[in-house]
Amino acid sequence: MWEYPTWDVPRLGGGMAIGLIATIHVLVAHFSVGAGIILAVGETVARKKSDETILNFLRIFSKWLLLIGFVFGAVSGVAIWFSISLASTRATSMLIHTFVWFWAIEWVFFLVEIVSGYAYYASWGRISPRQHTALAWIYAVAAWMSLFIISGILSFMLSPGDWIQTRDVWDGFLNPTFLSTVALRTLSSLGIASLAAMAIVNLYPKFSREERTRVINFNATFLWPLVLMLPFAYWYFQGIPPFAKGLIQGGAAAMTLFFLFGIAASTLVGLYAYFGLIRRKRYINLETSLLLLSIAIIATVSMEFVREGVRKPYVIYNLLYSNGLTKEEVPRANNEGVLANAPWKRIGFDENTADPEALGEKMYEIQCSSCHVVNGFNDVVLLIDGWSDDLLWYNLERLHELKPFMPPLVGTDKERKALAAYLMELQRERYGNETKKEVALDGSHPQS
Amino acid sequence: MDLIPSPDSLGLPAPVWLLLLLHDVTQTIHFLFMNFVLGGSWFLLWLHFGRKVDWKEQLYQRCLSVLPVALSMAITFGIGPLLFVQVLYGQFFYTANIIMGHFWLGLLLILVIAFYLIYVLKAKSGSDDRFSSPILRLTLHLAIALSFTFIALLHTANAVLVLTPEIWEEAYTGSLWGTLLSRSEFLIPRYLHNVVGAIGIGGLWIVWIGNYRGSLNASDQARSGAVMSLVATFIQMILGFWYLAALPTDLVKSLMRFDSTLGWHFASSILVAMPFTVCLFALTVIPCHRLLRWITSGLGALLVFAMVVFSEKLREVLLENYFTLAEWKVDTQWGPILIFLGLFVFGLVVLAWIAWALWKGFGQPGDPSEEISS
Repeated sequence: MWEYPTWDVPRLGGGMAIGLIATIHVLVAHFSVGAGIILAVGETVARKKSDETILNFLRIFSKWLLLIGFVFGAVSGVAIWFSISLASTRATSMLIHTFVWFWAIEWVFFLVEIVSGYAYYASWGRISPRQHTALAWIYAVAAWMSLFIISGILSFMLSPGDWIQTRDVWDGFLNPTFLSTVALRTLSSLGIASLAAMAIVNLYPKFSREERTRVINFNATFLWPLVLMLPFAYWYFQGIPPFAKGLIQGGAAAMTLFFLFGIAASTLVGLYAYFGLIRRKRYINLETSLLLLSIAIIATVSMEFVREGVRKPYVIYNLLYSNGLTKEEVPRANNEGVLANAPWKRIGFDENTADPEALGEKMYEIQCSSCHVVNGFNDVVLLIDGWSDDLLWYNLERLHELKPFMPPLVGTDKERKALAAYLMELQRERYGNETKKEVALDGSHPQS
Repeated sequence: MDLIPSPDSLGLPAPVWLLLLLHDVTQTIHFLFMNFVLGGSWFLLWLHFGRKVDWKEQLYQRCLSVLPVALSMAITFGIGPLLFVQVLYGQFFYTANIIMGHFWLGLLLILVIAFYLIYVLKAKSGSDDRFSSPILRLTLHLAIALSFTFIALLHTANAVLVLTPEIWEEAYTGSLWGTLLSRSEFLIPRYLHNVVGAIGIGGLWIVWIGNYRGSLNASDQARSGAVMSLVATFIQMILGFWYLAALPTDLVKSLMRFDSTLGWHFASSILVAMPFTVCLFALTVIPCHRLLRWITSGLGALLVFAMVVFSEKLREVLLENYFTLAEWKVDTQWGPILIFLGLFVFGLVVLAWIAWALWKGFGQPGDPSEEISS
């Protein structure tokens, strides 16, 4: 069950470390995909109309794509692999063994994307316009196909569909939220890249105000599709598991708010692009374009947060809990014990002679540390602040019923009680004997 | 051994031989690019001191232009072996990653910083745009070269940890935060063998860059790469003996008797290394000879492939007491495999078209120093 050692990230926790890296990468990757479409469509149109301003801008834009997408994006993509293998090892292994050929297919597109992207940037004015435009399209298609393949694997984690029963890789890839994920991510990519383009053109004084306005209005063409965020989000919503739906529909206030914010912000930006930038051909300066870009980034991050959040308590829905235990293994963990199935935690540790608190610490490391930390983000001590022994025990015993976004607490009676003892000790260490108003099982305050 | 996780119950989605083949091929290509990144970053440091000489300045600019592209390709081709090693040896690989967790993830932070430093150097390398402080320029060169050399150490440490489950417990309890590299006896010789070998192959890239269109003193440029390659190859041979001596005695005896598959792989590496060294020597004399360049480079690539296959077999032998690849349950996903292979071939065709278009395009008259940097 817990056959791997644990990776300790003080203050932050492994889960949060993955989240941070993944979020940054998603933003850069979306920029790279959207930029490809802008370059391809932009060069095709600009060549047709002999629009030197747009061509000059695209040349500059391709340099930004290289510096952001190919340098940071390529390394941060690998960083996701590294971090998930450290903090969510079993899930990584399952995803790799299930989807290795889809990862390999994605790698082919990534290879073409990188080579064509470098070639595109390096060959301005060196190859024929037709060939250069063809390079832009090769890059755009390869980058988007990369997104297409990755979406199948990412959406699988929330909605594995029939794969749970059949274990057929196509059931997993073509899962209920696959296509809606592709659609949402394509919109997000266009939004981020076009807003970034508007900010970038404002950084170059060599463009006159009129030229900048033209470039901005041109890029707005890729922004208005954000108004489709609402129907696409609804489509996505229809495919997710019922419990996850419930979380968005008010089951978890944070999820509801972030989901609504993501849709509202995207739609408003899309409407502004259509009415302000396309129809009325407005100009926006650097500050405004950065503000709009920030809103789009926050909207994308919000949707990523919701995607990760509503998947709880699972990493792979209905199969693997976030703490590395599968659903099927719960009875065995209760019968045999947790420590018996976690060899790395038994190193130098004798369960028979150890204090309950020391055994509890092991339980915490195995079952809780993938999401919680002591002294830091999602601090476990803060979450039990003021609780009495009874209240804590009552909660731990019914953890997955009272907090259905958490995995069930497993282990022998001795192990679970040891975890309670450890958590109470942490509470005492933090607040001393004079804890805040202690809340007992019946809701009274024994110390008051 | 109690601490080795069991193989993933989902099994393998392809035959072992196919996964091994793809692992070895992508690893070889990754090494070929990485060798220029590592060797080239030290070579640039050396060239940096002689930039007042025209041909050295030209070679410096050209190497600096190729470096970020080679690094990007090294990263892209590194994804292949990263993927396939997880499939084949995930239970060993993941454990090694976690044991050196902070270093493992930190490796990428160093990589991205070094990547951007190359672009800073490139932006400041033009005649009008140089750094005013020579110390700053030198520091930048050193930072880049040391970063790649340190990254190589972390990769070697990881590979050695994969091979040595017997030291896992000590390593893990020695640093629960994952800040320990490896205490294996063959970490240092293997590391030095890899680094110096990389400089050897990296020198061949410089031979090609030195022979590029419009080179000033092409033979001087190309010879500097050939000499670097030859010297590194000789040192690497000595280090190779040290590496061998650090391996378990029974294994070394088996290698020397050539009575095992591993022994034959070892022999084939030596067989390729010998003509390669002879050709390298010839290249230091006639560095612009086109056919010789092709033969030497072909042998160099073959040597890297042979070493990759040897390392792979060595892993199999060192881990056979704990796990063999034959233990995997295989349930082949033929559909996705065929799609992958079809797309891979199609991708190669697209890449060939891009190469052709660029080759033709860059044949137009223009400033040679800008041809590959534009």
